[in-house]
Amino acid sequence: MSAGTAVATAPVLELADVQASIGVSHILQGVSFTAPANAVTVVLGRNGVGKTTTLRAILGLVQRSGSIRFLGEQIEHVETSRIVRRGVAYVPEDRDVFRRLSVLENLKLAERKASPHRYDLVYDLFGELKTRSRQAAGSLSGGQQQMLSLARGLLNDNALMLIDEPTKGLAPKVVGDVVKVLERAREISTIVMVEQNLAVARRLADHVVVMSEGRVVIEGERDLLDDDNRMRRLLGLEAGGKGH
Amino acid sequence: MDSVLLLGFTGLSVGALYFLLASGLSLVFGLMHVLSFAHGAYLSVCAYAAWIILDAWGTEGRTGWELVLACVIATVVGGLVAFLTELLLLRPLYKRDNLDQLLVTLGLSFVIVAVLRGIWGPEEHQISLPEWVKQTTAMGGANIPNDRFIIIGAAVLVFVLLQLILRRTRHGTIVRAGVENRDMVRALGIDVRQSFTLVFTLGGMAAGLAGALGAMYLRAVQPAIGDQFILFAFIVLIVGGLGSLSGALVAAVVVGLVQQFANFYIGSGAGDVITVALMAVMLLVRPQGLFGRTERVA
Repeated sequence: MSAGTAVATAPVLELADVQASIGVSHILQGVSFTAPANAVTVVLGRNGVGKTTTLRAILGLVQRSGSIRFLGEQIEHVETSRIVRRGVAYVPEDRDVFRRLSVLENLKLAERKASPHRYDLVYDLFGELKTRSRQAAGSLSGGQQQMLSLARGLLNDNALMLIDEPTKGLAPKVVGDVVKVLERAREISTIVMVEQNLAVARRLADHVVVMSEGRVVIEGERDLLDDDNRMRRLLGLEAGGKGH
Repeated sequence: MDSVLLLGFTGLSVGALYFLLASGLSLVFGLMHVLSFAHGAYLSVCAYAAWIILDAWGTEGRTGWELVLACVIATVVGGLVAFLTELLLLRPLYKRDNLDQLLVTLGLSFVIVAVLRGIWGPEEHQISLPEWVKQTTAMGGANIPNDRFIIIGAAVLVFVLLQLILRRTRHGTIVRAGVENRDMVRALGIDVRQSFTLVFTLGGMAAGLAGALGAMYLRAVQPAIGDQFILFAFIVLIVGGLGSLSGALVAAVVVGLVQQFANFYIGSGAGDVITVALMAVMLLVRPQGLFGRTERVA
């Protein structure tokens, strides 16, 4: 599927009035949106509006309430590991590779019994991971760690990939490599992705969700991103910047 | 030179006992974020198990295998008690605050000591050991009690076995990963609670072995025998770094040696004061310990 095409299939993920708190902070205050199948849904918003918490709430990594449906089944009371085993991959912000484990151990840990393991795809996309398989993941560069984090997500057959700021803090060349990987990933899985880089969002998005103060304020198709001034205002970016 | 050697071996063997207790505590805290006070009581239970076996054996026909049997049974008992604790007392509390789990282990330790006292009384019971364990081996002018070699050897064996489990098995990899980032392990589809059981049981087994060896070292058992070791095991845990097995090993050696040499050269009790001071300094200067990692905030 290419960016900008119309999305007409049943949603893979549906959130309705999802609330979440971390400590005493009420972060999500009624988040509702749908993620269409075989599409990339990009979640945007200023820092601190609850984008990362939304992904973590879907997975049950924070206490949440409201309705979360994945492939038509309610999952808001399901434990994290069970949600993942139903076919969800999570690529977190800041990579979260296991630094003391080797690259191969990180990948082996991601293997799920009920799923075929796509080592061919992973090593095709990230050949460096094969040559560095015995290296401690903590000694990899930021870009390599991002590749490993994405590789863990791509290793299994997933109906949904939740990807949190995959280009954050990466050099422009590496951002390009990550985008190529994501373009490959969209061919095999529905994606919900938090992304602050407008250029990357425009390249990948089929569906757009904009958040503000713990709620979804705009939801629609990719052409929402074409209104540059409006998007920059919503994202708290300076007008006439580099599109990032 | 002979006193230095004797103090060195005694310090290493005391450190080995601290390590056996601290290794389990370290993994339990690293993965489960639970500071278990029950492991000291497991040590007491298993010291009694070893005493019962050696006492039942009698003094005739001693070969040394009865000591091995006592150690094996103490290890199994420690694992079993820890397994049941995790299954029946801790598992229902995983959704609650970690403080609740800590309080349960503290309460359990009181109960266990009270039960031991109720059954066998508060007094010490001398432990009957094979003759060769009580004998010494001449080395560099010093006569080193043979039990020191047994304790040090057992701790090294446990360290190697734990390393093999942690590095060569999938469960071990899950434990190592969980110590780093438990949420991410769950986010890979792994039910980390199964690893809680494994880690708590392994910790109980190590404490059980420490019970048998501690009874051998002290030549006696009494209900609060575990209390003599648990405080210093916590010091080892903090100095070595919570969740680090290698850190626990290094810290146990340091604490054991410092304690013995200070007690001998400065005065009785000085070693305890210095090791507590060492812990305080570590908390101020390097709160994550020698081998620990800085705690993730988000």
